[in-house]
Amino acid sequence: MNDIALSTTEPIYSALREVIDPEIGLDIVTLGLVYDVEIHGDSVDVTFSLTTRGCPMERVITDGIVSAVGAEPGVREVVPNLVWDPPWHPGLAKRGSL
Amino acid sequence: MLPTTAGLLTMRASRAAAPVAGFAPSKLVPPWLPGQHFVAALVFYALGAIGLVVAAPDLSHGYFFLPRVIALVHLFTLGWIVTSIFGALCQFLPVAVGSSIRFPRLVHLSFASLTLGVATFVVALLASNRSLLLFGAFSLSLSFTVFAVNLAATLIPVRERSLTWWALAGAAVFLLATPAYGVVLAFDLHDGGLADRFGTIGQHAHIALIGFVLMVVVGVAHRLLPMFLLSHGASERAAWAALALLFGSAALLTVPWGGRSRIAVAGALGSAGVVALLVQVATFFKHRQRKAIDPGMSLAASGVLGLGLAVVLAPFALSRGVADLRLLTTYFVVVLGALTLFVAGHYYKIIPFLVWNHRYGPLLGKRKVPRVSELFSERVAFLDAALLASGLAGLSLGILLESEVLARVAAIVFAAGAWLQVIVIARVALRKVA
Ligand code: HEM
Repeated sequence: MNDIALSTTEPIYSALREVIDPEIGLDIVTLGLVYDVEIHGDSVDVTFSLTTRGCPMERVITDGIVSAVGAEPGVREVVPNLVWDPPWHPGLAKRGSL
Repeated sequence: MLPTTAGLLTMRASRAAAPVAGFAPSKLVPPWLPGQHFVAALVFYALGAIGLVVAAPDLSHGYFFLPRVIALVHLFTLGWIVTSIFGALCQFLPVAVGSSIRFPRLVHLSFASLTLGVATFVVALLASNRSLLLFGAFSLSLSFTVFAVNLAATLIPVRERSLTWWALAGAAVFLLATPAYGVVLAFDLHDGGLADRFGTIGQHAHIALIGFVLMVVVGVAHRLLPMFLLSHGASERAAWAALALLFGSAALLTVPWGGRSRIAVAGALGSAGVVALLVQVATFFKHRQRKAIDPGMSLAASGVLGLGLAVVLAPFALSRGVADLRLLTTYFVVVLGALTLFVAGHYYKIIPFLVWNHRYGPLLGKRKVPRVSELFSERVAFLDAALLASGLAGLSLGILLESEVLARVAAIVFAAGAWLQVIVIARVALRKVA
């Protein structure tokens, strides 16, 4: 196990940029789907949403988040936290990205 | 980088993953459940395209009631449109209403009896075989009934009754009414005796088209278009109006009393329902945040525009009926062509997505993966959309002008588009992970 301590969320966000919404073709950070990242020691909570409720990508994106964040040095546990409130809307995406 | 070996990295259950009221977390159906429908539908589509080239001269003369034309019509309506809808519903019920199909095993029965029914019904019409025709009609009726019951069993426990829920519930009702008329017509085709054959055909066709196909289009478009176009938050009033008007129209067509005024009111309601659907689709396109329109969405949009043209033709074609067979044939070619384009457009969205999910989904977050739209060439897909739409437009014109040559050339253009699409989709489906 790698014991590098996690001090900032930046590496987590950059790992999350590897997770794309394959239909839209943009990563979930640019799309504004990642609502929050919290680090508790070697555990990372990722609070995120999806573009549509009941989205068929739910499992794939959740697993993608776990894989991408879990590969970061110092991460031992990933807690994906899917929320529908506030509901996602295109205004949350990075300006000009869509 | 730390390797994510089992035991080293753990994933706790999501705290907020508890189901939202009335909305179960989506369960993925096995890909072969919708997949088998899509394979069969593409085979019927490819065969129908060849049939269209063969039958183009018949169509150009308005011979709409020839058994071989009836066979062709059902290759498209049952083989392409209905088979695709059954497959798409298996896949998208979790997105549409938040619940997977209730009895996945029954889907095998509805699928088997549908494909067997289409094949025997079409062959029987071509071979003029009464027993086979009745067998085909009963097999189709079994399929429709089983699917309608399965759909109803899926919908009933869902607590959040959205517009999509109501549209699919309405579609389930008319899925049961369609074969009732179909079986009566199948008996009549060989034995005769029906007082108003052409009126009954009109009712049968419109109950199926308005009550089932268009109801599904309203429900599914309401869910999928905002997702594909990113037009979240657009007004949904027109979709509710479309739903009520189309339901009213199909209900009036189904009840056996009321005479000509009933049919006239049903026609007016149906036309208004299609206009409301057009307004809703236009609203979604107007509010879209994804400015670029992909081939799938452009085909779906041309299909909806075709439905608008059908509404313009309907009062003339249906009031003159068999007195102007070419106009009647043009009308049906426009309606069925429009729905064909709408369905074809969704194949460019659904199949690449399913393949991506299956092949690349497990790699997400682990390595770079392509986008869904990168699984096929967009340029080829746009060419395909142009072939399909221009072929159908040319065919309609060929019938209106009674030009055998134009009808045949246009049918060849359409068939080239249909075969190209089948090849593109097959290549996507067989694609290996690079
Ligand atoms: C259980 C399923 C069905 C059966 C058994 C059935 C049976 C029939 C029969 C026997 C006819 C010929 C009537 C005649 O010429 O006397 C007919 C005509 C027609 N049906 Fe169906 N049908 C079924 C489903 C559908 C569906 C789902 C649609 C549309 C989505 C449809 C659209 C039409 C149309 C447009 C015609 C007129 C075709 C022509 O005359 O060339 N049918 N149907």
